[in-house]
Amino acid sequence: MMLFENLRQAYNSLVLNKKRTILTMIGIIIGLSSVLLIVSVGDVISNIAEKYLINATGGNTIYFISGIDVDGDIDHKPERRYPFTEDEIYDFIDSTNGEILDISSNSSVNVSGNFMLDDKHKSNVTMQGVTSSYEITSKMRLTNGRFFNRNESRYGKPVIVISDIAAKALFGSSADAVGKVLDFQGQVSVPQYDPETYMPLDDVVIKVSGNVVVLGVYEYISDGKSADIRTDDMETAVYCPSQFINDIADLEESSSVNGFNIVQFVPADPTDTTTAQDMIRNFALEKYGSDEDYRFTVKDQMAMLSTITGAVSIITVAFIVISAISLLVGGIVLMNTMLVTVTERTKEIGIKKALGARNSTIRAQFLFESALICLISCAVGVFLGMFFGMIIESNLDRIISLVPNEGIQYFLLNSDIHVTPSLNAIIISTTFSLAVGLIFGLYPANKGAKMQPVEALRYE
Amino acid sequence: MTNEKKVVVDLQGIIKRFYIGQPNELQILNGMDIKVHEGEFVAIVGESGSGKSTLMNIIGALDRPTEGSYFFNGEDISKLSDKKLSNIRNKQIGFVFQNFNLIPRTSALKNVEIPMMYAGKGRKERTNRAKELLEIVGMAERYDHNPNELSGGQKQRVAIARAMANDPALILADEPTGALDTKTGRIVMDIFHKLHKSGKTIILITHSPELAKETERIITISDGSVVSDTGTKVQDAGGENNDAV
Repeated sequence: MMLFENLRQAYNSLVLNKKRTILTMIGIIIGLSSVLLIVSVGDVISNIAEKYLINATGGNTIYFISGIDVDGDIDHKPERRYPFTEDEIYDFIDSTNGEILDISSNSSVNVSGNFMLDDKHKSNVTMQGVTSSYEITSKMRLTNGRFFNRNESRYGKPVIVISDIAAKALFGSSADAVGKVLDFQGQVSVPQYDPETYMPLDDVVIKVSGNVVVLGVYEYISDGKSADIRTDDMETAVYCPSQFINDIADLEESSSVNGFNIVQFVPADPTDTTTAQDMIRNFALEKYGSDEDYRFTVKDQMAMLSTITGAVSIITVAFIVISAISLLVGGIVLMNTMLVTVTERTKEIGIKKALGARNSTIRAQFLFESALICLISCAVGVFLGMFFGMIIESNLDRIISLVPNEGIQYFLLNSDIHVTPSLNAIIISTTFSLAVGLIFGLYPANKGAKMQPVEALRYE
Repeated sequence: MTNEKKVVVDLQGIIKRFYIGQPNELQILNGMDIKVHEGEFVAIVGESGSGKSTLMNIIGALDRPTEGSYFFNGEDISKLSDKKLSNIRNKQIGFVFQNFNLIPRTSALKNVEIPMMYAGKGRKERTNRAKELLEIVGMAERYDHNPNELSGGQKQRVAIARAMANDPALILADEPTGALDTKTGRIVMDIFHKLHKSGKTIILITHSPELAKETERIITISDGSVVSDTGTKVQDAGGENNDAV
């Protein structure tokens, strides 16, 4: 009942003083948009961080770092290395009764090239080295055949799993593909780094070729990241044991592998890794526990992720505080405007009080007005936020090309980045600006409410 | 005993002082005793500076007396809270001001509805009652006009309709014809006479002796005291809370 009347009066008042209203709103819109922008950017960064970790390894894996406790004493430097051999690790995995599926090893390099059945049937592919657990962590669906098992993965057997698109191009159908042998030719680009500065150098290109057996066919699902249209000759990924790529490209020679200090384990249950973590701790202590100086880290990826997102959210909060200051200034402008409005309408307040308006009625009226100013500003601010977000999003390629690191550039281009404000950001900023409206509107509204009717009536 | 009526306004020893910084204090009302009965049409007359505005503010529950008691319909309201006073102004007193005091940019109908809105009446009831009242004061055709589209006399008629909105026990008119020409002033006064005939209690505050003569009782004040009272034609009802027979 009063709500509608308050809305009508507030609207009338705002329209009557258009210029003043708009100037006040601009102040709040600027403050609000900056809060919105910061919250959105924070969201984008944590999303990227999350995706980066999940993309890089596929699921919640457990890091085991032998020799160093990353949360412990920084000064503690291991005198000696505490490596585990590959056989030790696989034997340990076999002893966990399926609690740990495999180690996770996405080979850092891919083979890009050609698969040939004969001269007429070819398919362009990217061959990715993975371990047997990839089938589960990537949630891929096999239509025919099977994925390679742990032993095939461990010993780098020449086996592959191809996409249904590649199967159709090479064999005509998915069912015909399983068990067939394919020739392939391709090359591996091995990234090189300056050993002292760790700056990237030119890649070393290694030519590879060989025969592989098709074990299974998976259903290709567009990831929606790129605007690719499913065509028969499109380039799709095929998967082989990462050890296989290491073998054919002779990568073992270039890296100093005589045992692992850092291992990524893939647990059977990614949501609860405590049992698996305990097993890894026991495994580590069994070998080196007798050494009092032995330290190690067992941490799952979610824990690492929360460390990163935690850091991001601290930065975000710091920026929100800074941009909130501009909202504060907007609030002060609002307070000033409302004080002028209340003074201008002293006579009206007096009349209303003579007609029986309570203090609370007058207070509600002015609070309503300041809240309305803020809500309209909020709507405009959110609209502007979306508008600018859209502009940024459509120019994302150009913005990303400014990033100095090529690896990060590549990653950013392939992630699904939305700069438009999230619902979360909209709710936070709306609440914030409404709070500003009520807090800064309260003093002027109270001033109006507490006017003595006689004095207010006398005001000209 | 047939003229026995309830007392609406009962001022007992009302003193009002204003403190305009120590040691200056200004005593405007020097202990006034005024009694107005239900159904009376009373004029309070005085020169400017006689304290009649201050008196009107106290009678209208817009202000509290410094000393003395004010019984309104039998209840002492001289020490009530802001909230309770606004309740009394809303439901028991209807104001008619010299300069109309309509709410700007608000239609005649909405202006009449405002006191009913504060009293918590429903939208339909408000609108119907407001239209009825505007018809009584002869403004039925202009209910959707804003105050700036109305003449002085029309504004005052809307203001009277507004004063009647919650059917108050007392109508308090402060120089209601002061800003009007003779002709429109006449129309407004005729409405007051019509209301009086229908049984309303009206207090008219004016500096004009001619206007005062139209009423049935004249109280003259000067320098904050009652100097003459032509007297009431009715007697007090037996007790203050006793309903009139």
